[in-house]
Amino acid sequence: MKNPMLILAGLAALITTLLFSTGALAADVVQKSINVPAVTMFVIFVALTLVVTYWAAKRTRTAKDFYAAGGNITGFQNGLALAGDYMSAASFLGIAALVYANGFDGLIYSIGFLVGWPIMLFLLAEKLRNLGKYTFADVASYRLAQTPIRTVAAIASLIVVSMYLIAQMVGAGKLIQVLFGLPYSYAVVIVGVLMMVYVTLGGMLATTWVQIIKAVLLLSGATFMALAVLYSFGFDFNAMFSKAVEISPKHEAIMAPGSLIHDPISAISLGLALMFGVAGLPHILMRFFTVTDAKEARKSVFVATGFIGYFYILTFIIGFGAIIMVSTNPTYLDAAHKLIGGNNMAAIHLSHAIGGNVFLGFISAVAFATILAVVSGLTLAGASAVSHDLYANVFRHGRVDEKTEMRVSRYATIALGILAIFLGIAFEKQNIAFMVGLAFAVAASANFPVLFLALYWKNLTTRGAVMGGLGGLITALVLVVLSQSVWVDVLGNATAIMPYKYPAIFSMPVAFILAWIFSITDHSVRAQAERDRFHAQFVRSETGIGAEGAVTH
Amino acid sequence: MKKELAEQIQSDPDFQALIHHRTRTNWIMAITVIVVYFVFILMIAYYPQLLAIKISAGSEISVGIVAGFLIIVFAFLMTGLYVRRANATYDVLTARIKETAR
Repeated sequence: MKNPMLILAGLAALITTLLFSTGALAADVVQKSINVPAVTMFVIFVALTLVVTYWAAKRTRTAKDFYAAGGNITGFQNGLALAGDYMSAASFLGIAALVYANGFDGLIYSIGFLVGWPIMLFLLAEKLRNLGKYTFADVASYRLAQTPIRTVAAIASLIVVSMYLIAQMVGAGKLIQVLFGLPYSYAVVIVGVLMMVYVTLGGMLATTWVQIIKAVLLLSGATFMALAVLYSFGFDFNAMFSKAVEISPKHEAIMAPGSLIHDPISAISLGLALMFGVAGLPHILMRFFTVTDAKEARKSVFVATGFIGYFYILTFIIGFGAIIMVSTNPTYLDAAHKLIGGNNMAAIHLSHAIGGNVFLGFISAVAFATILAVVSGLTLAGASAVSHDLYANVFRHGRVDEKTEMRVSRYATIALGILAIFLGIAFEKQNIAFMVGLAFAVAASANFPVLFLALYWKNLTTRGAVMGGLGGLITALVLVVLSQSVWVDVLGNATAIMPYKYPAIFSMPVAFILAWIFSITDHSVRAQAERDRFHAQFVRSETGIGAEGAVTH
Repeated sequence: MKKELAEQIQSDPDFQALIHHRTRTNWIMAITVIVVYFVFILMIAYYPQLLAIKISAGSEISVGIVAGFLIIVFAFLMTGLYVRRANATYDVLTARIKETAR
């Protein structure tokens, strides 16, 4: 990593040529013509982020810099970056698409995605900051045995990260295919390579600023779209909803709960996974170690909740705007009167209806940038699980120097990047709608119970935590495989063995019950020592005495 | 943290006041959010027709949409309330505890 500038410049040139040349080539042959404003704006975004990466690379010297941006990010910056991590293209395009197709039902997801944030603030955020260093496994294993706890945490983290990565990579490939006229695999490779550059060279600092830039762009673009929709109705919500009800083929039904959730068990199960899944997502939890202290950690959740909530209100308006301005316009429909590129394109088509090719280009570039930023955050979290938890603490038992650990984390980043590209291509034709839901279910059933009990329940022992974490993880995975979305939709069986759509209502109790049983029956000497250490952990988690500080440059 | 220091801090009245106050408020706030959210989810599952009611005659806006928007605003306000309380009360107590422990 001697000369990051050279690598960056070469890469920027390569990507620019790749984008323009293949676009032109594709246009010559069959594919739709290349969207020049979109590519231009995307290239500008990439150039800007590469400059940021160069700046961050010079400031990334120690492990603390790499994993936690030196602990110097402010609460407000971290709040924006958290929002950036969370507002994925899946939630932007996906929720707008849900609202476009079902109206009210889209709001159910938005609210579920949001309400986990206050819970995380009240119960976890400050304690995490006070106890942890780089990963949430630091906190879970604070008074427990390092090797087993970190192994389980790292496995669960890597599963969550991979599921999320697949969803983002496939989304990126499909989006780029439609928008830029590029072949699917090119898009996946571009995303993978850029993400590897950001993370390996600039670590958490570059990732944070890429998130912030993207969050600002996404919020600005979405605000403009929502305002444009409202403006056309003189800011009269009732007029907007009335028009949508009139136009939508479902009419009145779009204003009330519909077909998305029909049985109570699935509804509660989805609610549990969304609410507690946030507090188990490794890339979100990791962000709490980038701020100076618990005070900044709490401020960052407040800021993040505000931006995310605001963003979901915007996507709701955007979805309704698409019903009104897109669904009846033949420009955006194919021969079968379906949306060109599928319902996920609702927000993208709306941007064209509002601001023509230039604004379409802007929103397309923002959507691509969003995917890029989210995969960077995910990859950094995955790489940290490998280098900090598995390599440094499990494999080397903490006896490793910083230089080596950082080198391993960079190798891990590259390995994960290659894996992400491979998975993105492998899953191109698969139905991946369940991936993000599965990531949330695993996070809520494996990571959250272990973390929560480690902080709140004195009697939790290593044995209980391992059994609880693994039990929740395996139950969630098995139930998803046996449910409609994999057993029938992917594997092609006639009927699903598991009748409900979401596993959390079963897998979360399994995790808690196993953790409880295997802890209270644990009478080993180690278990007693772990219970004894609870008080010191409690005092530090509440007061921050002895917590990791920021470094000054 | 040394066990002796932890024990000393735990017997500090400021620490006990902090824990008593904060633990209670945090749980009350968390349970409030959980209850509000699951009442909404259970309404969707069991009484969707209630959420379909229009807020007034001649309006297309349904109770469900208003409730949804209010929950988003409510979640944000709860985090704000927590931050204000923590900045005003908890940080002062924590600073005193740290001072005493020194």
